[in-house]
Amino acid sequence: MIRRAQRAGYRNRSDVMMEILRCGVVGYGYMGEIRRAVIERSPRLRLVGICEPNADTRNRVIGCETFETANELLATGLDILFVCVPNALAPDLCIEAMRGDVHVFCEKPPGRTLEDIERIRAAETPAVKLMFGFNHRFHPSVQRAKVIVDSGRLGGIIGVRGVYGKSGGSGFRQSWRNDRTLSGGGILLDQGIHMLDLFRFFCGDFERVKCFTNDSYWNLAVEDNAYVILANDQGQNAFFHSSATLWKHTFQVHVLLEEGYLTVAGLLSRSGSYGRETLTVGKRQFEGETEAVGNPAEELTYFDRDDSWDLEVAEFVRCIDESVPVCISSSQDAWEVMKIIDSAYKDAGRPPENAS
Amino acid sequence: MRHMVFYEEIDESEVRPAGLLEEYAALSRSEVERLILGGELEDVTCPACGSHKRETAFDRFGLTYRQCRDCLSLYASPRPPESTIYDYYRNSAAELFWHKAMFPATREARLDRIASARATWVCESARELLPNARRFLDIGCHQDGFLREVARTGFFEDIVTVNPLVEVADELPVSVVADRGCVEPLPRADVVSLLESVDRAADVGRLIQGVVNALPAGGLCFVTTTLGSGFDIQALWGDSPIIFPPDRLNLLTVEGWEALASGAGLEIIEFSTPGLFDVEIVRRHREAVRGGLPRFLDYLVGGRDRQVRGEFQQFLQKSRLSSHGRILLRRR
Repeated sequence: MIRRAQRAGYRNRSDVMMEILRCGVVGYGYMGEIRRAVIERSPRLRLVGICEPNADTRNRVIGCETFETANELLATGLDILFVCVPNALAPDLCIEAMRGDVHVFCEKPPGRTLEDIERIRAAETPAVKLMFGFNHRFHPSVQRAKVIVDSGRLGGIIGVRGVYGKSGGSGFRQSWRNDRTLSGGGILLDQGIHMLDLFRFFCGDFERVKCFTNDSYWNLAVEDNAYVILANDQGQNAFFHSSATLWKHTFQVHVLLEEGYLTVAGLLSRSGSYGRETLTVGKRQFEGETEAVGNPAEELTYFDRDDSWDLEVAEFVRCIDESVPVCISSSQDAWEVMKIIDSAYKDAGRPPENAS
Repeated sequence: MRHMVFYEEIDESEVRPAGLLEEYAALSRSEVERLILGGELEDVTCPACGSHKRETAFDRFGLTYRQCRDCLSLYASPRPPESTIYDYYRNSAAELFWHKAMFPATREARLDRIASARATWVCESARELLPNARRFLDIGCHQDGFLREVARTGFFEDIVTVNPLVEVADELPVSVVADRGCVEPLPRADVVSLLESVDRAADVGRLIQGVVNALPAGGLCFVTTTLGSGFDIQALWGDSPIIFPPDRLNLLTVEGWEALASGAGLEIIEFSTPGLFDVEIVRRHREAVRGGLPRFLDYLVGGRDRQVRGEFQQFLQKSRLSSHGRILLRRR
């Protein structure tokens, strides 16, 4: 409540710009470490502490205070809580933090089910900012592709298609991501959600959803592969394959436009396993039908630096500073994408588990 | 840092017709003798890294080119002062020929292949990296087609050029704040372009510092340039047909640009070498001279087919080894 009173007291932007925002991270796995690094790089943010219930993991945190429970961390008086926990735990943490008037940055997916994100949204108020980690929007190739699409120089979007997959690997069977009670779904919910978010980023909403899944390789309670086909009222179609059996890690998004095409391929990541991040831009060339070669001139841009983590948090901080609604990776975006996933699972005969 | 590779086949003659290029070279040679060699010349250190250590590389039109031992950049020294270069571009028959003969003969290809592509690069990059940019400042671009294309995008509210080189048409929707090559201080701007301007600057350090002073933190500077580290220049060296003083007094290497940017407080966002003509330039030289190339280069450009040469050109682009450079800098 003290933090709320302080925020309400700000009269102009310059006052707000002076404040260093106090941050906590709950969950110190892969994403928790990344978020900690972003916080520590930002001149606007200060890391107050990290909550990690696992004692072994907690003991390897050095350089900041640690807490066993989120309540202890929240009691320190945070401005922002970064929620980096398994899907089943995220909704209650988001809700609890927002009820305490703490801004929340939550990793994707926003819970296990559509009901989870609806519960989170019900706790959202104009006084707190809530953003989700749909980080791929902020990757440099995607940002550039979006600029080109929005410029209109290649015409309108006809459709999009994508492939996003990984190979699983050692420890995959034991991962909480494959425990349906914790995750709520498989590769579609874990990775495919990024692809769906990008499809929405380029095209807007999709009203019709078809999906096939299979789980024949890993034989776990969640899907190994999902094949999703989408259509919207603007006449655009989309298709993607989300996979945990792509032995070569792959990320590709193709945007088909009236006057050309864009291909985002590879992804800058900590492991580098998805290959160099590139954007190919091609412009349609019509030749005579009999001599058509379908091989137009292309521009290929290689991106070697990933600022996406910092950019998305900077956007979140901007929304706090300027007291404006979050409109990129917002709870609305999270809800819309979870609606698609909910429809996809139902279409594939995999109804979601009860979130409660 | 990012970099771009361009997969397209363009015949060099579309933008540099051989006969016209030779005439331009001949005019440049005689005008350099008439307007530059008789006047004051100043010895300079490496324009990229400031090093005094250098070797003599070759002479061109009576000017001596040196190679920096530290960053390997090529530069003419001694060289004419800025006022002489300004007078050259206002008065030389070579420059007049460029605007009255070369540019009209290649106008369509240059607008389509060069001016429009550069304007797209500038405006899309600015929209991505500095979406609130309002004022665009061009310094010394060689053709008004580029400014017209930038204006046509409607991205910038205000376009300013500082330029002794073009006769800016009345209908061109830009402001001309001065017709001299060097205005100090430069007008403030969010985005600056230096299209081949560094290549012909008498004092590179002063030009870059002027740009830095004109930009806010986060402001962008777009550069196109000829690189001394590029394939055709390294292969042909003093025989390179594209080294003309004063158009190319400074041929910085990739390493030279990195040193220059770092020293000026500029971050390199993009460093591409999307050149298309390196291999073709070397091939034409081989045909004309019949010999003189190292054995492998001779075989590569003379003994292999167009597809292999094209793929080698793409390798040069990917490896930042073409002589045509495009660089995007951001003020820290």
